[in-house]
Amino acid sequence: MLPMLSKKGQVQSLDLFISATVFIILLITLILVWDNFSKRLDTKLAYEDLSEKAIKITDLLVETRGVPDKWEDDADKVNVIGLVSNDRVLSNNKIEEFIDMEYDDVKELFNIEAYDFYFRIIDSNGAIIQVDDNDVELGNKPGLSSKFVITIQRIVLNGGSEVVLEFTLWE
Amino acid sequence: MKKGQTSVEGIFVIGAIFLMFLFILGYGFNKRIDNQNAEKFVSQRDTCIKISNLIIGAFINGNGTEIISDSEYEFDLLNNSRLIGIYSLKEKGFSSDYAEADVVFCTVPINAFPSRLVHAGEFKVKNVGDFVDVTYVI
Repeated sequence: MLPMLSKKGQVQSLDLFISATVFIILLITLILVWDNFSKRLDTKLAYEDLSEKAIKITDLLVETRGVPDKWEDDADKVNVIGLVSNDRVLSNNKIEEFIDMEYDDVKELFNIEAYDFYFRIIDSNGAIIQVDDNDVELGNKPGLSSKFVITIQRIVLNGGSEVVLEFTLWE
Repeated sequence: MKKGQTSVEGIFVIGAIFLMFLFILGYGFNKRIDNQNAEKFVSQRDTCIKISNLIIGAFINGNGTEIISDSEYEFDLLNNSRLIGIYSLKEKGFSSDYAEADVVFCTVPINAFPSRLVHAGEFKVKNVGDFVDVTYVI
Protein backbone atom coordinates (compact mmCIF):
# COMPACT_ATOMS: atom_id res chain seq x y z
CA MET A 1 0.00 0.00 0.00
CA LEU A 2 1.31 3.38 -1.03
CA PRO A 3 1.83 5.97 1.67
CA MET A 4 -0.67 8.88 1.62
CA LEU A 5 0.93 12.01 0.13
CA SER A 6 0.29 15.33 1.77
CA LYS A 7 -1.39 17.90 -0.55
CA LYS A 8 -0.10 20.83 1.48
CA GLY A 9 2.24 23.17 -0.47
CA GLN A 10 1.85 21.22 -3.74
CA VAL A 11 1.77 23.23 -6.91
CA GLN A 12 -1.25 22.44 -9.02
CA SER A 13 0.77 21.55 -12.10
CA LEU A 14 -2.15 21.57 -14.57
CA ASP A 15 -3.25 25.06 -13.49
CA LEU A 16 0.31 26.29 -13.65
CA PHE A 17 0.80 24.80 -17.09
CA ILE A 18 -2.40 26.41 -18.45
CA SER A 19 -1.66 29.84 -17.00
CA ALA A 20 1.95 29.76 -18.21
CA THR A 21 0.79 28.78 -21.72
CA VAL A 22 -1.77 31.59 -21.83
CA PHE A 23 0.84 34.04 -20.58
CA ILE A 24 3.42 32.98 -23.18
CA ILE A 25 0.83 33.16 -25.99
CA LEU A 26 -0.12 36.70 -24.91
CA LEU A 27 3.51 37.71 -24.71
CA ILE A 28 4.30 36.39 -28.20
CA THR A 29 1.18 38.11 -29.60
CA LEU A 30 2.25 41.39 -28.04
CA ILE A 31 5.75 41.11 -29.51
CA LEU A 32 4.38 40.26 -32.98
CA VAL A 33 1.88 43.15 -32.91
CA TRP A 34 4.61 45.52 -31.82
CA ASP A 35 6.96 44.39 -34.60
CA ASN A 36 4.17 44.56 -37.17
CA PHE A 37 3.45 48.12 -36.10
CA SER A 38 7.07 49.13 -36.79
CA LYS A 39 6.95 47.49 -40.22
CA ARG A 40 3.69 49.24 -41.06
CA LEU A 41 5.15 52.58 -40.02
CA ASP A 42 8.18 52.01 -42.28
CA THR A 43 5.93 51.10 -45.21
CA LYS A 44 3.72 54.14 -44.62
CA LEU A 45 6.74 56.46 -44.50
CA ALA A 46 8.21 54.97 -47.68
CA TYR A 47 4.88 55.34 -49.51
CA GLU A 48 4.41 58.93 -48.28
CA ASP A 49 7.95 59.73 -49.38
CA LEU A 50 7.22 58.45 -52.87
CA SER A 51 3.91 60.36 -53.11
CA GLU A 52 5.47 63.57 -51.89
CA LYS A 53 8.27 63.33 -54.50
CA ALA A 54 5.83 62.53 -57.33
CA ILE A 55 3.54 65.46 -56.42
CA LYS A 56 6.45 67.93 -56.30
CA ILE A 57 7.81 66.74 -59.65
CA THR A 58 4.44 67.03 -61.40
CA ASP A 59 3.99 70.50 -59.84
CA LEU A 60 7.29 71.55 -61.38
CA LEU A 61 6.42 70.04 -64.76
CA VAL A 62 2.99 71.67 -65.14
CA GLU A 63 3.48 74.94 -63.29
CA THR A 64 6.96 76.15 -64.24
CA ARG A 65 8.86 76.89 -67.43
CA GLY A 66 12.03 75.41 -65.97
CA VAL A 67 15.44 76.92 -65.36
CA PRO A 68 16.80 78.44 -67.51
CA ASP A 69 13.54 79.76 -68.91
CA LYS A 70 14.31 78.53 -72.41
CA TRP A 71 16.15 75.38 -71.42
CA GLU A 72 14.81 73.61 -74.51
CA ASP A 73 17.27 75.63 -76.64
CA ASP A 74 20.14 73.81 -74.91
CA ALA A 75 18.88 70.86 -72.90
CA ASP A 76 22.41 70.08 -71.65
CA LYS A 77 22.30 73.20 -69.50
CA VAL A 78 18.94 72.53 -67.87
CA ASN A 79 18.82 72.91 -64.08
CA VAL A 80 15.10 72.50 -63.50
CA ILE A 81 12.74 70.85 -65.95
CA GLY A 82 9.40 72.56 -66.60
CA LEU A 83 7.11 71.70 -69.52
CA VAL A 84 4.82 74.71 -69.80
CA SER A 85 4.98 78.10 -71.49
CA ASN A 86 2.32 79.46 -69.13
CA ASP A 87 0.68 77.94 -66.08
CA ARG A 88 -0.66 74.51 -67.20
CA VAL A 89 -0.25 75.32 -70.90
CA LEU A 90 2.18 72.82 -72.40
CA SER A 91 5.02 73.86 -74.66
CA ASN A 92 5.60 71.39 -77.51
CA ASN A 93 9.26 72.40 -77.81
CA LYS A 94 9.90 71.65 -74.14
CA ILE A 95 8.06 68.31 -74.39
CA GLU A 96 10.04 67.36 -77.47
CA GLU A 97 13.32 68.04 -75.70
CA PHE A 98 12.16 66.32 -72.53
CA ILE A 99 11.25 63.01 -74.18
CA ASP A 100 14.60 63.05 -75.99
CA MET A 101 16.51 63.34 -72.72
CA GLU A 102 18.39 60.41 -71.19
CA TYR A 103 16.37 58.53 -68.57
CA ASP A 104 19.19 58.63 -66.00
CA ASP A 105 19.80 62.35 -66.56
CA VAL A 106 16.14 63.07 -65.83
CA LYS A 107 16.30 60.94 -62.68
CA GLU A 108 19.34 62.87 -61.54
CA LEU A 109 17.66 66.23 -62.18
CA PHE A 110 14.60 65.20 -60.20
CA ASN A 111 16.80 63.63 -57.52
CA ILE A 112 15.01 60.29 -57.75
CA GLU A 113 17.99 58.06 -58.50
CA ALA A 114 16.72 55.48 -56.02
CA TYR A 115 13.45 55.06 -57.92
CA ASP A 116 12.14 54.53 -61.43
CA PHE A 117 9.59 56.60 -63.27
CA TYR A 118 7.26 56.51 -66.25
CA PHE A 119 5.95 59.68 -67.85
CA ARG A 120 3.31 60.10 -70.54
CA ILE A 121 0.71 62.54 -71.78
CA ILE A 122 -2.64 61.09 -72.83
CA ASP A 123 -5.72 62.55 -74.47
CA SER A 124 -9.31 62.21 -73.26
CA ASN A 125 -9.53 58.73 -74.88
CA GLY A 126 -6.48 57.49 -73.01
CA ALA A 127 -4.25 57.44 -76.12
CA ILE A 128 -0.71 58.76 -75.84
CA ILE A 129 -0.47 62.08 -77.67
CA GLN A 130 2.22 62.75 -80.26
CA VAL A 131 4.55 65.68 -80.70
CA ASP A 132 6.46 65.87 -83.95
CA ASP A 133 5.39 62.26 -84.76
CA ASN A 134 6.82 60.95 -81.49
CA ASP A 135 4.76 59.45 -78.67
CA VAL A 136 4.99 61.63 -75.58
CA GLU A 137 6.30 59.08 -73.10
CA LEU A 138 9.53 58.54 -71.22
CA GLY A 139 10.87 56.04 -68.70
CA ASN A 140 10.07 52.52 -67.57
CA LYS A 141 6.64 51.19 -66.71
CA PRO A 142 6.25 49.57 -63.30
CA GLY A 143 5.97 45.79 -63.23
CA LEU A 144 3.96 43.40 -61.09
CA SER A 145 6.92 42.99 -58.77
CA SER A 146 7.15 46.73 -58.04
CA LYS A 147 7.01 47.37 -54.31
CA PHE A 148 5.43 50.83 -54.35
CA VAL A 149 3.77 52.58 -57.28
CA ILE A 150 2.29 56.06 -57.23
CA THR A 151 0.76 57.78 -60.25
CA ILE A 152 -0.08 61.48 -60.32
CA GLN A 153 -2.33 62.84 -63.06
CA ARG A 154 -2.62 66.53 -63.89
CA ILE A 155 -4.97 68.08 -66.43
CA VAL A 156 -3.18 70.53 -68.71
CA LEU A 157 -3.79 72.33 -71.98
CA ASN A 158 -2.10 71.33 -75.19
CA GLY A 159 -2.99 73.31 -78.31
CA GLY A 160 -6.27 74.42 -76.77
CA SER A 161 -7.48 70.95 -75.79
CA GLU A 162 -7.32 69.29 -72.40
CA VAL A 163 -4.86 66.43 -71.98
CA VAL A 164 -3.65 64.48 -68.96
CA LEU A 165 -0.02 64.57 -67.88
CA GLU A 166 0.72 61.36 -66.00
CA PHE A 167 3.79 60.76 -63.87
CA THR A 168 4.36 57.39 -62.25
CA LEU A 169 7.06 56.97 -59.63
CA TRP A 170 7.84 53.45 -58.47
CA GLU A 171 10.27 51.35 -56.51
CA MET B 1 8.31 17.94 5.50
CA LYS B 2 8.90 20.93 7.70
CA LYS B 3 6.38 23.76 7.67
CA GLY B 4 7.46 26.87 5.70
CA GLN B 5 9.92 24.97 3.52
CA THR B 6 9.90 25.75 -0.18
CA SER B 7 9.98 22.85 -2.57
CA VAL B 8 12.44 22.64 -5.48
CA GLU B 9 9.51 23.10 -7.91
CA GLY B 10 8.53 26.28 -6.08
CA ILE B 11 12.00 27.73 -6.45
CA PHE B 12 12.04 26.71 -10.10
CA VAL B 13 8.68 28.41 -10.75
CA ILE B 14 9.72 31.61 -8.97
CA GLY B 15 12.99 31.61 -10.95
CA ALA B 16 11.15 31.13 -14.25
CA ILE B 17 8.69 33.94 -13.46
CA PHE B 18 11.56 36.21 -12.44
CA LEU B 19 13.40 35.49 -15.72
CA MET B 20 10.25 36.10 -17.73
CA PHE B 21 9.67 39.47 -16.10
CA LEU B 22 13.30 40.35 -16.64
CA PHE B 23 12.86 39.58 -20.35
CA ILE B 24 9.67 41.68 -20.55
CA LEU B 25 11.42 44.54 -18.79
CA GLY B 26 14.35 44.41 -21.23
CA TYR B 27 12.07 44.13 -24.25
CA GLY B 28 9.85 46.99 -23.04
CA PHE B 29 12.90 49.17 -22.41
CA ASN B 30 14.23 48.48 -25.92
CA LYS B 31 10.86 49.25 -27.47
CA ARG B 32 10.63 52.48 -25.51
CA ILE B 33 13.97 53.61 -26.95
CA ASP B 34 12.80 52.53 -30.45
CA ASN B 35 9.60 54.54 -30.06
CA GLN B 36 11.48 57.63 -28.88
CA ASN B 37 13.83 57.37 -31.87
CA ALA B 38 10.92 56.87 -34.28
CA GLU B 39 9.12 59.89 -32.80
CA LYS B 40 12.23 62.04 -33.22
CA PHE B 41 12.76 60.78 -36.77
CA VAL B 42 9.15 61.52 -37.78
CA SER B 43 9.34 65.01 -36.28
CA GLN B 44 12.60 65.80 -38.14
CA ARG B 45 11.19 64.31 -41.35
CA ASP B 46 8.04 66.47 -41.06
CA THR B 47 10.20 69.58 -40.71
CA CYS B 48 12.25 68.49 -43.73
CA ILE B 49 9.18 67.97 -45.91
CA LYS B 50 7.74 71.30 -44.75
CA ILE B 51 10.92 73.17 -45.77
CA SER B 52 11.11 71.29 -49.07
CA ASN B 53 7.45 72.21 -49.79
CA LEU B 54 8.14 75.86 -48.96
CA ILE B 55 11.09 75.98 -51.36
CA ILE B 56 9.07 74.35 -54.17
CA GLY B 57 6.07 76.56 -53.37
CA ALA B 58 8.16 79.73 -53.57
CA PHE B 59 9.78 78.54 -56.80
CA ILE B 60 6.48 77.67 -58.49
CA ASN B 61 4.74 80.88 -57.42
CA GLY B 62 7.42 82.91 -59.15
CA ASN B 63 9.61 85.92 -58.64
CA GLY B 64 8.91 87.94 -55.49
CA THR B 65 7.16 85.17 -53.54
CA GLU B 66 8.06 85.49 -49.88
CA ILE B 67 7.17 83.06 -47.10
CA ILE B 68 8.02 83.32 -43.40
CA SER B 69 8.02 80.09 -41.44
CA ASP B 70 9.82 78.47 -38.54
CA SER B 71 11.80 75.36 -37.79
CA GLU B 72 12.23 73.57 -34.51
CA TYR B 73 15.57 72.19 -35.71
CA GLU B 74 18.80 73.46 -37.24
CA PHE B 75 18.94 72.54 -40.93
CA ASP B 76 21.35 72.41 -43.83
CA LEU B 77 20.51 73.19 -47.44
CA LEU B 78 22.64 71.33 -49.99
CA ASN B 79 21.88 72.55 -53.50
CA ASN B 80 24.39 70.38 -55.37
CA SER B 81 22.85 67.18 -54.09
CA ARG B 82 19.35 68.75 -53.96
CA LEU B 83 18.95 67.78 -50.35
CA ILE B 84 17.82 69.23 -47.05
CA GLY B 85 19.35 67.83 -43.89
CA ILE B 86 17.58 68.33 -40.58
CA TYR B 87 19.81 68.07 -37.50
CA SER B 88 18.48 66.80 -34.20
CA LEU B 89 19.81 70.04 -32.67
CA LYS B 90 17.23 72.54 -31.51
CA GLU B 91 19.66 75.42 -31.06
CA LYS B 92 22.91 76.71 -32.52
CA GLY B 93 25.84 74.49 -31.55
CA PHE B 94 29.54 73.95 -32.14
CA SER B 95 30.71 72.14 -35.27
CA SER B 96 31.29 68.99 -33.18
CA ASP B 97 27.61 69.09 -32.14
CA TYR B 98 26.54 69.07 -35.78
CA ALA B 99 28.90 66.20 -36.54
CA GLU B 100 27.46 64.12 -33.71
CA ALA B 101 23.79 65.02 -34.28
CA ASP B 102 21.31 62.70 -36.02
CA VAL B 103 20.47 64.01 -39.48
CA VAL B 104 17.33 63.26 -41.47
CA PHE B 105 17.51 64.05 -45.18
CA CYS B 106 14.81 64.70 -47.74
CA THR B 107 15.08 65.66 -51.37
CA VAL B 108 14.10 68.74 -53.38
CA PRO B 109 13.67 68.28 -57.15
CA ILE B 110 15.34 71.65 -57.89
CA ASN B 111 18.76 73.12 -57.16
CA ALA B 112 17.80 76.80 -57.35
CA PHE B 113 18.43 77.47 -53.67
CA PRO B 114 21.59 78.25 -51.69
CA SER B 115 23.81 75.81 -49.80
CA ARG B 116 23.78 77.01 -46.22
CA LEU B 117 23.13 76.21 -42.61
CA VAL B 118 19.94 77.78 -41.26
CA HIS B 119 19.40 78.05 -37.52
CA ALA B 120 16.35 76.87 -35.64
CA GLY B 121 13.64 79.50 -35.34
CA GLU B 122 12.06 81.81 -37.86
CA PHE B 123 13.32 81.78 -41.43
CA LYS B 124 12.37 83.47 -44.69
CA VAL B 125 11.99 81.82 -48.08
CA LYS B 126 12.07 84.26 -50.99
CA ASN B 127 12.03 83.76 -54.73
CA VAL B 128 14.44 86.22 -56.34
CA GLY B 129 14.47 85.72 -60.11
CA ASP B 130 13.68 81.98 -59.93
CA PHE B 131 16.30 81.46 -57.23
CA VAL B 132 14.84 80.59 -53.83
CA ASP B 133 16.81 82.24 -51.04
CA VAL B 134 16.40 80.82 -47.55
CA THR B 135 17.60 83.01 -44.68
CA TYR B 136 17.42 82.92 -40.90
CA VAL B 137 15.30 85.74 -39.47
CA ILE B 138 17.06 87.34 -36.49
